Amino acid sequence: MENIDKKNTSTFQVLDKIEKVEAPHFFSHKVLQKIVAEKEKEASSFSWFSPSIQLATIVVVLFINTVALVYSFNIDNSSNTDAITTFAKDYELQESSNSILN
Amino acid sequence: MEQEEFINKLKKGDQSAFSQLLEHYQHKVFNTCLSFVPNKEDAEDVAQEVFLEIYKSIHKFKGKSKLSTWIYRIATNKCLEFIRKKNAKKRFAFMQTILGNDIPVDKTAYFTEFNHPGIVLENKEKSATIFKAINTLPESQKVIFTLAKIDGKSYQEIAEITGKSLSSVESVMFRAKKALQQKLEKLYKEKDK
Repeated sequence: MENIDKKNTSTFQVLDKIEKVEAPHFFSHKVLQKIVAEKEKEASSFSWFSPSIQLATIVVVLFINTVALVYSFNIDNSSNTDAITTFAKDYELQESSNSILN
Repeated sequence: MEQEEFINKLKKGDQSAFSQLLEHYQHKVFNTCLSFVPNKEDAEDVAQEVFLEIYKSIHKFKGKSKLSTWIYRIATNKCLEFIRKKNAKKRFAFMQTILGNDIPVDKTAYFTEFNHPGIVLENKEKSATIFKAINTLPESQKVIFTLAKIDGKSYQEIAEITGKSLSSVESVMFRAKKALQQKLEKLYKEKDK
């Protein structure tokens, strides 16, 4: 038991003897290289989306929105009203129906 | 004030400021990584990841803690991430062995070779033993014990890095030491049989 205690203590003592070391040579160089690579990756992922394409995208989106708005205001509502009236008549939903239950 | 200016430069992506930070912290971060991952090559990879993370997320640094604390927190998290991945790979390899699947030779080398440049040869075996035992501790005990006993940080610094109170750090440290003693005792008893 005493032997194990000694081993335990000496094992713990080993931790106090660990020396500080310096980072490997070219460590900072490697990190900077990685950062440059990361920057290039970021730049290349959106490089195709140039300002002219961005402007064209905005124009297309605005055009589609304008067309949609113009269409929705000019649409003829009479056909819709007819369809609803027919539906209401078919299912006897109108108040003016002649049902004996009313 | 100087520190604030320096951080602002970093946030603006100033290359010379980042080189300065790298120069100042590279050895410290490398040593912290070595404390968790006792293999020179692995620790170097993790340390590089740490600086890449610092570069990417410096804009998130709010200045609520010291810059050094923030850096060590990133280093600790990156090391734990590395250890978790390594352990998951080990488990996978073990499961494959149980299921009778052949594991390619290179994939059996999930167990990183113990190669700490700050440990002299005569202490290598004992160090490997205690490092293995530390790795079996619960994560909070592992972090606090490693930062205190291997990386040589003060309890105050550890409290700031981990976000725990000083008394909590002390109590976790006490439990970690006790657990390690029991683990080593068991290990040596088994070896003596």
